[in-house]
Amino acid sequence: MIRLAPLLALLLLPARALAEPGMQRTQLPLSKIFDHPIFSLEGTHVELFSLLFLFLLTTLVMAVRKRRQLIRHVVQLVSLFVFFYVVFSCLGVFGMIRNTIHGISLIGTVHTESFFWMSLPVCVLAFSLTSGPFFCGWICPTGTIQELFTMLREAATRRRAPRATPVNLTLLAIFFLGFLYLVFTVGEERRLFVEDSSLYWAASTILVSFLVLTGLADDIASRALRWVSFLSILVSAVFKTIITSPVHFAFVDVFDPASAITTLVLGVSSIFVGRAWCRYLCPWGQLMSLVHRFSRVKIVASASACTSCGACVSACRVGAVEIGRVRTEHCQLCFACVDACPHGGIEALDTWRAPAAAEAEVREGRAP
Amino acid sequence: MSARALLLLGLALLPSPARADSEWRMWRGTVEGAGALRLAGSGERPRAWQFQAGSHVWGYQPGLSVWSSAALGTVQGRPLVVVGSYDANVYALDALTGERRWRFTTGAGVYATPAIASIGGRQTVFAASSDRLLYALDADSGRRLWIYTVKAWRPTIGGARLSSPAVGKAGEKAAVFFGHWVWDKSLAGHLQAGGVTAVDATNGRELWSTPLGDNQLSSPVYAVLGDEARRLFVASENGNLYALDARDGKVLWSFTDRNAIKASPVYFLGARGPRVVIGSKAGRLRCLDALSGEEVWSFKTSHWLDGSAAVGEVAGRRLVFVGSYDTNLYALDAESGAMRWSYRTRAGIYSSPALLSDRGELRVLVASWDHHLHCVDAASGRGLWTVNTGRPLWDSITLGDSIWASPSVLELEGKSPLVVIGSYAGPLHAIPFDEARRQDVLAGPGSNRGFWVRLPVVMLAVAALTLILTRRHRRASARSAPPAR
Ligand code: SF4
Ligand code: SF4
Repeated sequence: MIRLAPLLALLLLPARALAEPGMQRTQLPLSKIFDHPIFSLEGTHVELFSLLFLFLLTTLVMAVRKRRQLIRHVVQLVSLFVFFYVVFSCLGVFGMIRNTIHGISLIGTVHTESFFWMSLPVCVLAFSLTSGPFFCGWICPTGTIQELFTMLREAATRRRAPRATPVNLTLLAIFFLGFLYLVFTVGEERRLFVEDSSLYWAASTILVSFLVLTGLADDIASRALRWVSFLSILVSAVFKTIITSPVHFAFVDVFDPASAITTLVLGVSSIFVGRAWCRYLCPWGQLMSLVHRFSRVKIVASASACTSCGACVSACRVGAVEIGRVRTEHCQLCFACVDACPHGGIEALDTWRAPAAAEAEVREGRAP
Repeated sequence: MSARALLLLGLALLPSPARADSEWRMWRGTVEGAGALRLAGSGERPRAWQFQAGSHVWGYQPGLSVWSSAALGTVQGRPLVVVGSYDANVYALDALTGERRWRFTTGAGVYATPAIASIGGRQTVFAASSDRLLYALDADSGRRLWIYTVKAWRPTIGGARLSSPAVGKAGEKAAVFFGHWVWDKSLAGHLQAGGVTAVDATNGRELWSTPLGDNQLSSPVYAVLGDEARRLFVASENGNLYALDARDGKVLWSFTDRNAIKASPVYFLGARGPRVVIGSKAGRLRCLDALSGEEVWSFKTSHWLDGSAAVGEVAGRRLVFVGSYDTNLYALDAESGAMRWSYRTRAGIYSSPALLSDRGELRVLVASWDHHLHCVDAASGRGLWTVNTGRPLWDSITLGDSIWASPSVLELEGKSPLVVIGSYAGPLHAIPFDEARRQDVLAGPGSNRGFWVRLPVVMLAVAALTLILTRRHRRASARSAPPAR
């Protein structure tokens, strides 16, 4: 619980963004540290450097086995800080897709800007290919906020798997009504651009979590929804329809209550289903899962060492492990299962060193 | 005595510029961005009229605007509205009746506000078109006097954005200053050139040209700081505000913002020296010392600032008015940047404010994405009236990519002022101020009905999809699982 204390403090941030009805418009919910570029080179923005730093930091500390989960949470905290107080441009899980398209469309017109918009997504993709898609497990602030809520639930109930108790379902329903009420009041005051599409995504997150909790929907099957989510953002980016600011509220230095509400909803949904948004709807997560197929580092389970104790299954907060099998397309490379297995039955495989055949063998349990 | 002190002394001796000028010399008419022109009244009363451009453009392109902001002038004693359109024409209309006096066709859309000034006794219209040309036209007949080519045509040329010209003096010569940005589509061509050029206003010959990065430039403001100190202030999307010497185009100082700048600067003479005001895409409005480029104050709004500010005087105090995409119009103290009031519309404000005097009271006009033109009392921030200018022609528009038209005001002595605004719905409107005030005030919250209708539909669709996916998955796993014994 003590470990959670600094994380708890961060919980207040989204609340702060919403809780100022007569907000003095001179003040923003979050203020950035850097108000001027550190480097005067035109179009070079500080966020690229801070992100590069984060990625390099992660690749270095990822290999440390001792207390790896604690280190990971520290990296997540640093990343939250960077995203809240340094980064300006929209790096939300929606925004990155749109930024990439926008950057591509600018090739041939403004190269500095094109570079700027594409640099971050390209940086994430490149690191994911070479060192595994650790962005989700270690850096993504949206993921971190969700994990935080999931951890709170775990600390409170001392269990990992969520259950469809009547209490849980009622709580979720009440929460959904609360969400509607919040949208209604804020929308009435026009502090919200209600065409902000992130709210539809927020509502859908609650809905799918509810369906999965009750058992009406299947956890793994529902993850195909990420495709729908990904494609709708892609299409809207290509055709430039108005999907205004479905971003993480902290990224852009603008006041955007819809994103704040959405962030809150993603967090609270994760109390009921671990990292619910990552599982079912995150468009960027879908892209990361595609990249994971080709990435150098993968998490694999070796059936020979497995005693079917289930430690890995309950360690994984995105439900990507079954006994004796890791679903690569849902894995976020957080290493929780690797660290949880008492028999060393799950490991990170460097597919460049070990040829693909070896990988298959490890997975099938045929390796010595 | 230092040069700076001399300059300040010179400034103190200069007459303070009137709020409304008699010539529309730059993008918002005056250095202070009032967007208004004051003329001696003629016998005729202006009436409401509408004007449609010749043709339609069916696809929205980022950067496009149906109309440029209107420029106002006079020919042969009659007030004139000159406005650029996306149909590649420059139109000159009689301001009192809306009749077309002439039309001049360029090679591409005209998104920059023309400038109108008397050059050698002749009323001349300067219009910058996206066909990479600057045109000088006779304001009376629309006849072409000269053209200036920014960049010669070549097969791979991608396009160009020219900013509104500003008329002033470069050395002893009457000059036209304008920003331009030209790009080449081919990667090998590698051309993305931004810059500011001064051409001789009488014959179109280039006086100087200063390259400024590779991004689009805002409209320059030309300010006279002293006899020998004529300055151009121009912002670039690369986040810089540049101060140029109007004589030779040398960059005297530049100020780097944290984010892109799409807005154009305005200039005013404050109590403690000359000031430049500029807003950025990060929503911060900054007031800089025009001599050194040092920041004097800044004010954070919650969203993009794409329009210029306007400086006006209320009860002896200078106020800066600016509209933000965070839906608010702000009035700030020009000396300290402290907020006086804010007025909320129902959607982001894209336009620059226009200031007018209604029986001695200062009013502010802004256009907002709630498709209305709002009139606000400058002293109290109270909304007075709104006029519906219609929905945009296209369903999908990337917000914040285009600089849409801002209102312009013609103040006729003894008559009700005439408000001219090109709407993204198609027509160009001219509204006599007194007729507009009779319309309803659109205040308070808008309706979110659309959201509450769409939300259940989206949720139903998601639920159905989830259940279908689950069924398919369960069937598939039932088939592949070993039959139960
Ligand atoms: S799935 Fe999406 S929200 Fe979750 S960690 Fe990955 S990018 Fe972030
Ligand atoms: S499978 Fe293992 S590494 Fe991947 S997300 Fe789950 S716990 Fe983390």
